[in-house]
Amino acid sequence: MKVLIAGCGRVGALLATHLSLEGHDIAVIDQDRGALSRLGAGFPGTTHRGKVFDRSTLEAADIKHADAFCAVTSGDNSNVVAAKIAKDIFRVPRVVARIYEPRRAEIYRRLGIPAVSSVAWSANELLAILAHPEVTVDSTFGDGEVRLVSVEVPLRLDGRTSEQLAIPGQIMPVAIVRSGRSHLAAPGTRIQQGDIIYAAVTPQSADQFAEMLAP
Amino acid sequence: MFIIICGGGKVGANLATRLTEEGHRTTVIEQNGDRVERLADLFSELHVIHGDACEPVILETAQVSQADAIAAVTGDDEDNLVVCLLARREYNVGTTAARINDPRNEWLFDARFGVDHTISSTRMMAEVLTREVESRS
Repeated sequence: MKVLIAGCGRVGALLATHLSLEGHDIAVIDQDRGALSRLGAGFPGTTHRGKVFDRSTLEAADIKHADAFCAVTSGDNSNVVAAKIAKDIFRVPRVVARIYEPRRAEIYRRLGIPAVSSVAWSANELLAILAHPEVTVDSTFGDGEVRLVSVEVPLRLDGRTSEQLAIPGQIMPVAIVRSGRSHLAAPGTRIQQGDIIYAAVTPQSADQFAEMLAP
Repeated sequence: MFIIICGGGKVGANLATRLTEEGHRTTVIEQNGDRVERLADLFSELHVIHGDACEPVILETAQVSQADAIAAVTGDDEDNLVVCLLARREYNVGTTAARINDPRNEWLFDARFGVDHTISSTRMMAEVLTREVESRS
């Protein structure tokens, strides 16, 4: 896959390194030579100095043949402009922009620009560790409105069914792991002490879920 | 008319002065505190908001949904594009105008970013000079 990475800060450089280790063909754009040096001498991809929405720079990085485009400069506006160009003008099949501000990320997603809000994501991760240490947050979706969490079933709840833990719109048990094997949480599925139960929850319900499964 | 001007540098301040004098309700959004103070001293009728015009909260504070027109005249082309994009696609503003700072970015200023009209002093200057040179030769 040919991937263009616009912005060679910490995230851009790490992404470029990982993707090239996986064997992808990478081109990185940044207006600062010092930033591009983050990639190190052994970087097998190409580097291009210039603005991430400058036509000649994008064309030099061969955007016309790119399979994916990722805008990760430190400026939300540069990322939006670059991602929109990649998507609407050069028709790159896969485009994503990193947007710090969560509200803007939401608006841009609605306008058809896939956006990852790193601020919302970090805040959610920190919140999960600080406020809900009893549950493990395995994954967050979107801006963190839905999380996949897991917790061990205590003796107290041995023999209950997974739907007894469900609260419509708030907590949805999805899978049970017992002795290393997983099962989808179907109606009537009994849980046992020591099972790990996975549930999709809203952030507001994470505490409640932890309390329900407290030893 | 109710007009919002994003960017209160020389261009924004002049535009605000002209529009206010012509009797239009005008709001200027400017990020720099010193400029905000200078703008606020211009006219008592001029409404000045201190903040980033690319921030939805700030645009909403300026009552963007009620604006008849918006002028994006900051010194950064990507900011001007984003202001027009938000104004048109998110807040349905009827008319948008943007300043082009770097002529190399001119290709971006069109309907895709919700831009109706553009102002490029570099291009205007170049056209004037070209005409002048041609008329002499």
